[in-house]
Amino acid sequence: MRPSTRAAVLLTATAATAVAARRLVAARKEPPADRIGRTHAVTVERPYDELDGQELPDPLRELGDAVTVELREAPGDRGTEIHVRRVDDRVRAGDVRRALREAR
Amino acid sequence: MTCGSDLHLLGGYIPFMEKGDVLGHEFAGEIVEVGPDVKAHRVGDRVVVSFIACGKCHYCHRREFSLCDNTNTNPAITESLWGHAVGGCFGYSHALGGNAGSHAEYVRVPFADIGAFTIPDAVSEERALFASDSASTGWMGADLGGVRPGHVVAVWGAGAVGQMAARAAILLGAERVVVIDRLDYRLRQVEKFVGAETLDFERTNIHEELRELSGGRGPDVCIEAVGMEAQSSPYDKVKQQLRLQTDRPTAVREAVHACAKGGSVFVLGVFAGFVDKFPLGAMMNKGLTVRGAQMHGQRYIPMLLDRMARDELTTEHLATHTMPLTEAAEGYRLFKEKEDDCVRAVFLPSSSS
Ligand SMILES: NC(=O)c1ccc[n+]([C@@H]2O[C@H](COP(=O)([O-])OP(=O)(O)OC[C@H]3O[C@@H](n4cnc5c(N)ncnc54)[C@H](O)[C@@H]3O)[C@@H](O)[C@H]2O)c1
Ligand SMILES: [Zn+2]
Ligand SMILES: [Zn+2]
Repeated sequence: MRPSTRAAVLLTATAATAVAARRLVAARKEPPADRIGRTHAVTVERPYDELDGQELPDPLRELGDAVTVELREAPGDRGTEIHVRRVDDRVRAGDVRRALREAR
Repeated sequence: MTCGSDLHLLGGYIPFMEKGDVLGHEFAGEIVEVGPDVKAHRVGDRVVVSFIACGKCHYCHRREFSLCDNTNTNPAITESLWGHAVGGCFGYSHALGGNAGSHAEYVRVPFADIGAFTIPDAVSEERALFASDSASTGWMGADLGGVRPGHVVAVWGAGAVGQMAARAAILLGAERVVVIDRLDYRLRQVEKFVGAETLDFERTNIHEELRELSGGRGPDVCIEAVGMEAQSSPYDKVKQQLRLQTDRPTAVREAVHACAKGGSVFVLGVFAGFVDKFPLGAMMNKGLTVRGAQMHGQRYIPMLLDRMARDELTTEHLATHTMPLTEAAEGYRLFKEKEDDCVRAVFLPSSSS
């Protein structure tokens, strides 16, 4: 049994489909995990519609205007993502993470 | 064509190469002769070829072709190294059968009805060539890694294998796909041609970024497409050089650590022996599924060729360097050093030019 193929590869120029995506983090240096402006997120097992427009859970509400809070529908029926961003130094990153854990 | 696996062979990390061995396992070409048992192909057919599988054993019947029981003509090495022999492959050292590879004008293809696939007219050989390995490997990672619609998927390594894994994840309906590397030219390719997002591991904390972009959950599926020569700390390099570990598993560790609870990690990168500091605790306590395999190309190639014909899967950007086979040494140098924005070097035997 001696089947063979000739290992020849012919090249033809073909237009490639170009699709746009983006670089997620363009920062030069590794940003500290707790820098101002970085978001911290948890996903909760509650439908987006149920949470949208409602009062935030207590631990998050207590952070007041030191943070901004954004709700997003999680993909794949995973519930709702709560993204929290520190706007200044009034709360520490650790406090944000703790509040998120308690809110979950 | 060159492959990351060839680098592991040339670098001596898989110490079963002998003088005179012919490298090369990713190839496409024209059939010049067929054996009496070949029914599916004729002289003149344009084909792309996968690893070597018999099509008749238990594993081939389960479509786990790289586990074929009958095609590794040299099973003793891997039986003692891994407990069992896996299937044969072209140009992949004596551990996988010592079959002559494709960096030649002619290559003998055993079990050609199982392992060679006719290239549809609508697909160029340049594109089809990638179905041979990197596209099938990438697809396998996304498929057996269990990518489903709604998933967040992270891929370590932006070589041809990682890029194809990311493309597969997108085509399988993943919600977000992120590719991690440090080579800017490769990350730019990912953004432009694959349509996935990117992270540079030299400039960011990968674990943090993956956690936040997945709503705190971590990626549902993590695909490792780096292998045993991963960029790593001096600790791992020294241990590897002292032969205290055979492989550097940096990306595997990171994937296990970052992966969502109950998620899955698929190891596409090639490893040969033993690793140190494997995060077994994270794997066990987070209930992860960790899998790996040499690719089951036969399972995916017909589907990949269809998708290539429909332009869903394009690969031309990966063939950054095309050169005569006589310049293969330079092609390997460019590929190894990642010079001149090399992703894959394609070699043309003289007879085809
Ligand atoms: N399972 C299979 O059947 C199969 C098939 C083909 C290739 N492979 C293996 O897949 C791996 C990738 O192959 P390739 O041809 O794309 O190789 P490649 O060398 O072109 O790409 C590897 C990429 O990994 C990047 N990298 C290195 N360290 C990293 C780290 N710590 N984190 C993230 N990225 C890192 C490198 O910068 C490079 O871009 C190799 O190990 C190869 O042997 C496996
Ligand atoms: Zn390969
Ligand atoms: Zn078999």
